[in-house]
Formats: sequence, C-alpha cells, structure tokens
Amino acid sequence: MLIRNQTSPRLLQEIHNFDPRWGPSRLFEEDHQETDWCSHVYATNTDRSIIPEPNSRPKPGVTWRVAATCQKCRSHVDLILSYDQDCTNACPSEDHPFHHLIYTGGSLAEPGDEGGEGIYQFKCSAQTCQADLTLQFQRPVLNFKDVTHFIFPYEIQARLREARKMHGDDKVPSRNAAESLRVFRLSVEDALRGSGRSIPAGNATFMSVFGSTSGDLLERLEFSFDPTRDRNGAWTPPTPAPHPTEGAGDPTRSTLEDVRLVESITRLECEDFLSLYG
Amino acid sequence: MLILKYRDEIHVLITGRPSHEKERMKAEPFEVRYAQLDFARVLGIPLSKSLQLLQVLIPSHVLTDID
Repeated sequence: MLIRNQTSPRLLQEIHNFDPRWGPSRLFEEDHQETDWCSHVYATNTDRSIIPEPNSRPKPGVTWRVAATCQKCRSHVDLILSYDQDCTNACPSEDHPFHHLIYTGGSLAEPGDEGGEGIYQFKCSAQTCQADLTLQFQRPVLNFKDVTHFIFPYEIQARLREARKMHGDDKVPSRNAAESLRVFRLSVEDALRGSGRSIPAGNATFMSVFGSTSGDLLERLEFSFDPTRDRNGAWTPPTPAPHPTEGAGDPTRSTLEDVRLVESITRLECEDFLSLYG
Repeated sequence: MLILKYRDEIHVLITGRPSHEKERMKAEPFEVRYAQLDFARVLGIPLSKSLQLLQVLIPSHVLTDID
C-alpha cells in the first residue's frame, strides 16, 4: 500500500505496484482484481530528471527528481526528493541506512476521483535528514485511441483519402504508421522548442497525419485552434516555459515531454507491427 | 549476448532475444531506459539492496544478469 509510513526500499516497490488509473480505494473493494493493476516497467524521462552522480551525498537545499513513464500502461510518475537547510546528515547514514518516510498528506488531481492520480507527500523521520519526498502520479496522456489514430492502416488510409480529395492525388504522397508517428513527434518537438509556428488545418501533411479527428488530442496537448486563420483554420502549438532549476516547472512542457517519450516507446513497441503493416 | 552500459557504470546482459531486437536496443539504448536504478539512486538505496528488487522488477526476458 502506498499510503503508509515505510522505508525507501518498500516505497520503491510500492511505486512499481501503484496504478494511478485505479487508485488506493480499489484495494478495499470486494471485486478488486489484482490483474487490473499494471506491474509497471518505467522508463526515465531524461529531460526532466535530475539524477545524482553515483555515491554522491546530497547537500542542504538540493532537489533530485526522476520523471518516468510506464512502458506498458503509459502512466506517469514524478519522484522528487528535496533536502532543506536543516539537513545535517542525509540518509543513508551509519545511524539510518534508509530513509524512513512518514506520509504527511496529499491531494488527488480531482477530488472524489476513484483513481490515484495526484500528489502524495512524505518526510524522512530521521532528525538529521528530514528529506521531503513527493510522488506525483498521472494517468496516461495518450490513450489507446490516440495511439491507434497514428498507427492503424485503415485510419491512415481514411485521412489520405480526405487529403487527396482536397489537394489531388499527386500532392499527397502515401504515408505509413512510422511516418505518421514521426510527424507527430516533430510537431511535439516543435512545440517544446517554443517555435509558435501555426499549422494550417488544410495543409496536406497535417490532413494526412492528424486529419479532422485529432482535435481532442491537440487540445489536450494545449494546441489552440483559430478558425479565422487560413481558409480552414490553423492550429497553434503551446509555448511552454523552459525548465526551472528547481520546482515542478511548466505542466505543459512536462506533458509534451511525456508524450515524446510515449511516442518513442510506441515506435519501438510497434516495430514488428509496423514492419508488417507499415 | 549483448552488453548495454547504464550510465557508464552497470552492464546489463541480455540473452535469448531475437537478433534484430538486440540491434535495435544497441542502436537506441538510452532512448527508452529502465528507471528502476534512477529511482534507487535518488532514494539513496545502496545498489546491492536495489539489485534484489531489480531482479523482480525488470522483466526476466530482458534482464538475466548484472555485472
């Protein structure tokens, strides 16, 4: 169980067992099935992580962070460990070989939500350490429908037909799943660079990759649609703030970075599928 | 057998995987990387302790031994 006082090795195990799609309340339900829960295989989001060198000791005021995405269920977790000025001898030490973490509170992303998406906070009980630990769990930013949008052949063909109807066959080259994912990734990276460059909704590439059914996805990624621009309107990417040296940072940047990692995972995972159905 | 370096310090030995998959992992070893060691390091869990967990947490078909 995640919400309890525990040592750091046990917490590490709980991080891998805890599923933000279902949350802690499900544990007490009679019909709860353990198989509902994902046994996570997390991958590190290196852009947003601050990881100490091997065997380095934390100094007062330092913050470390691991941002990660599960390769199986696509859930996200941020682990943030901060040491304040009261830290005189951080764990692990001779007297305290592990952090002993006291649960101090938390907040769900949506009050009353049965899922576990939200923030969970702990404090190390060792007087010489007193590290603050925050776990922030988030449901997958890309759902199954988002992924199939880019990789299912019949969906790609439907968008190609729509684009060719407007632009003509010779102006819209064939496109496969790998190329669709690549263009999606480039759009996300463009937003992360803060280019602010709008994409006309009638653009042949946009139509063949995003089409008219991706509005929900783009809005979730903070792209904004202006129907008055160009002939068919245009999508403008968000311009997220750069990473701060400490603190949580811009949530839009975090979301886009998570999406970029999920795209990498999807591309590697789908390699066999793509080689067959491209 | 394939040896992947993890942050230039730990070697992960992978056996029994199709050759094309090994090549793929060799080409992109850092793009999708297991986070377990990062969690352990930030939490200050000594490596010998965390390895016991890793053997459970990393899928057995991927991880068979650690140098």
